[in-house]
Amino acid sequence: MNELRDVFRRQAEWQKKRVSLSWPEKIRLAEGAQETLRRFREMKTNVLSPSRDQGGGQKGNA
Amino acid sequence: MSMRRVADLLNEMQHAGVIADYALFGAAAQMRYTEAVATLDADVLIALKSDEGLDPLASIFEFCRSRGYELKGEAVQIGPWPVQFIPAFSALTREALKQADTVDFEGSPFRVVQAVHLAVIALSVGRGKDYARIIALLESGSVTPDEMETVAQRHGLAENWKRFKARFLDE
Repeated sequence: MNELRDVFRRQAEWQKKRVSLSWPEKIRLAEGAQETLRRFREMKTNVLSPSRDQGGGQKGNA
Repeated sequence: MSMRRVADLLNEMQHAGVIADYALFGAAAQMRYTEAVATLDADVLIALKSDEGLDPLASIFEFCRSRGYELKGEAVQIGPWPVQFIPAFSALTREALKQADTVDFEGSPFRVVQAVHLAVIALSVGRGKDYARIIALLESGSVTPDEMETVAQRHGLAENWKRFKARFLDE
C-alpha cells in the first residue's frame, strides 16, 4: 500500500513539473509530437477508407 | 522557434494594416495554462479591416504568400504549424480578441486569448474535446467556475454552462 502511495506521489510530482514548464517549452513538446500525430491520423484514414468503399463498416470522423 | 515565426508574422501583418487585431486560441493557446497537449494546428482569431470585400481572407493569404509561406488547404503552413485564420464571428469571440493578453514568446510579443474565453468558446462548441479543454483549464486553476459562469451568461450560454456543470462538476 505504501509503495502504491509512493507511485501516486511521484506521478503527481511529475505531472506538476510538466504543468510548470514554460509555454514555449510546452509548444516545443507539442511540435515534437506532431509527426507522430500526423501518422496516426493517416493510419486512421487508411483503415477507414476500404470499409467505406465496401459499403459497410464505420464512418470517418467529420 | 517556429511558433515565434507565427507570432512575428502576425505582428508584421498587424503593423502592415492587413488585420486590425489577432489572438491565438485553441489547443496551442490552451498550453499557456495547462499541460502540453497533442495538436496539429494553430488557430488564430482575427479582426479584419472594415473594408474587406467578399473574400475576407484573401489579403491575409496574399501577405503570407509574399513572405514565402505556402497555402495548404484552408491554412497557411508556417514551419510545422498549419495556421488557420478565423475571423471573430460572434460577440464572444470579439470580446476574447479585445481582451486577449500580450505575452512574451521567446522575445516576441504574442497575443493570446485569456483562459476564461478559451473555456467559454469551448463551451459554445461543445464537442468531447472541448469539454476536455474546459476541465483541463479548470483543473489548472487558470479559470474558476464562477468566472466561466459570468462570461457564459453574458453571451447567452447559461444553459450550456448549467448542463456542463451538472455533467462534470456537480457530484
